[in-house]
Amino acid sequence: MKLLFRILIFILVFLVQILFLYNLNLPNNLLVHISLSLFLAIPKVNKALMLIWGFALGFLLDIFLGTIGIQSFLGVLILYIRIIVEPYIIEDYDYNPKVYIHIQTLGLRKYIIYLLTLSLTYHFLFYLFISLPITDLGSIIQKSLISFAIGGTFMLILDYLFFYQQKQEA
Amino acid sequence: MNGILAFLRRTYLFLTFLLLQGISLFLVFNYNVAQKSFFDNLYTEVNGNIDALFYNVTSYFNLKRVNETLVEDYGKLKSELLFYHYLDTSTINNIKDTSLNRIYKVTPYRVVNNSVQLTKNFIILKNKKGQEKPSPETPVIDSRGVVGFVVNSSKNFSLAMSILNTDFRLNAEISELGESGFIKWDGINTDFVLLTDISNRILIEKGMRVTTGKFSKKFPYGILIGTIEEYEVKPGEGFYTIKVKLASDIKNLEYAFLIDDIYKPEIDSLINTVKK
Repeated sequence: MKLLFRILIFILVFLVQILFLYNLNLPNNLLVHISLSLFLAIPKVNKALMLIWGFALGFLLDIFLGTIGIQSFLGVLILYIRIIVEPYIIEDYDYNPKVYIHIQTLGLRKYIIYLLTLSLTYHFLFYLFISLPITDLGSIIQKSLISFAIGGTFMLILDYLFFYQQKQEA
Repeated sequence: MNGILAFLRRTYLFLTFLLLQGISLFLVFNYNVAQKSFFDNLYTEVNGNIDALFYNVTSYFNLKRVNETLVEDYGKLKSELLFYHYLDTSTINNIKDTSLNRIYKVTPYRVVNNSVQLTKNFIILKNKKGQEKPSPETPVIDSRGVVGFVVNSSKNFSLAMSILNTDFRLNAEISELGESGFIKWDGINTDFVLLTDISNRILIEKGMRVTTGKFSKKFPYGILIGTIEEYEVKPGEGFYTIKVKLASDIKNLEYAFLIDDIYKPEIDSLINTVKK
């Protein structure tokens, strides 16, 4: 039941991203990404498989956005950072392989820091790739921050709503 | 083999990461127009810089060969110059007689040893393979001026008396005035030689050029020796003692040029017939 719920949320976020957020005509070519939560939702299985999964998901997003390779690159990077960082921030990582990082498992403060770091990296690199050759770094940083603020808030709400409810239910 | 497997087991995650990132970047720079253009420009830039660096490194290693080629070419040009110089300063008869012939042949030689700290300094030159060894009294110059003359030659090496040798004597003249004197070295300062036998009735000035004289048996006429630095008349003497700053850089000599006078053997044999 839990797994089915997760799959449903995953599909929902994916559809929102490709059908709604990618089609918003925001000023200054701004794009809102909540796809980061998709990468964060990839289950902890074999580590190399996680990377391949990240690559495949990124590639799928690339097809819809028309940025072949960029989301794949970012997906693999985010997954690699996850693999390296998670053992240090989840206390019982080795004993509980099924534990997922979200607002409940990490706590609000820790989770925001984690999300902030990953999300900023993700957005900054995304706009960096899109803007090649780089002529205005200030604009890239500005867009990254705005996109991160909207997307991050959206992701926090999403996470809080679903996983909080899930815990209540459990 | 086990080592390789252990290494792969240890680093498989990082290698997978690199592989996937490599594929992603390949896709980014091949299927997106702006990124492809950026990458192409970057590639051209980097490639150009690497090529330039490689060229700089290889050209550094080629410097010796290039230097030798330049020296060879310089020798050829110098002989041309001497030939025209001869035409300029000769009589009409001489021009008619010699215009079809090269008077001097200038050949570069590598300096293998050169002393300047003694009072009787010599220069050892490496002979050219397959060429006749230089005959005694062959003049030696560098790109700036007089250096010495050959005193002896073996199969592979030639010994030249340096201008910085107290036994060295050379007929010279102040080119602006046409006054002749003799060059010698006092064994004191390696940057200067002395010009003697110039009458004190002549007005001379600092900076005047001193060249090889018309009456020099060894050297062609008009080769620069140096410029007048100081002069004085010693009490009771009717001649100047002129300090001449050497034009040639004897201390840092790497290549020297030997000047062969094509007519010298003929002139020598004529002189010998008279002596007999």
